[in-house]
Amino acid sequence: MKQHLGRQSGVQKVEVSLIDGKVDVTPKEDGQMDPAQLLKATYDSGVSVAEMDMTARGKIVKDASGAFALQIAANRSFTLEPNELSKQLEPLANSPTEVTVRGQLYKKPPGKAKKKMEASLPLKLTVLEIQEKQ
Amino acid sequence: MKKFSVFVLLLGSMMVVPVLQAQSSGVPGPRALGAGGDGIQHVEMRVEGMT
Repeated sequence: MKQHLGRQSGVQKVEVSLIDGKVDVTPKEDGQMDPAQLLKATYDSGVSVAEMDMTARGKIVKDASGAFALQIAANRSFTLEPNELSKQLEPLANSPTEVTVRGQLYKKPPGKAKKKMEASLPLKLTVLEIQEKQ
Repeated sequence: MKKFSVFVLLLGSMMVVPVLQAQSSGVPGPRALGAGGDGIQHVEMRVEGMT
């Protein structure tokens, strides 16, 4: 799995802890990493993902449908799952303020059935912590 | 020879000054922030069935 993930675009380093079943992925400085691709690559290597968390920096934007999103690059954003913390970010929408947040992108649904992972799976970001506003 | 030495000194100082300015600016670059090119700083997964 480590090699499988290490081959993914934009991945600098993969650290696997067998004891607590944790996988840490560090992106390349100037690369573009796609969490959905990481999720798919992990499933393809025969391992089931229970949770995926991400720390990212970007701007808060409001899209055409009225949903708030964290825009991490000109053409890349993650829709925010509404919660108490995401409400704190809403006033920053379409402002130049950059925020660093830690959030959950994926949580395995309850049940034993293993679903096929799709790379195009739309991942929503549930904000767990606001680390910085600038 | 003298002219050449002056030229080398001048060229050297021109290269050193921007480096010193960059070091003292205090503005963190992408490396200092630890961010990827797209703003993702870190991804952590909890997995099951790993051997």
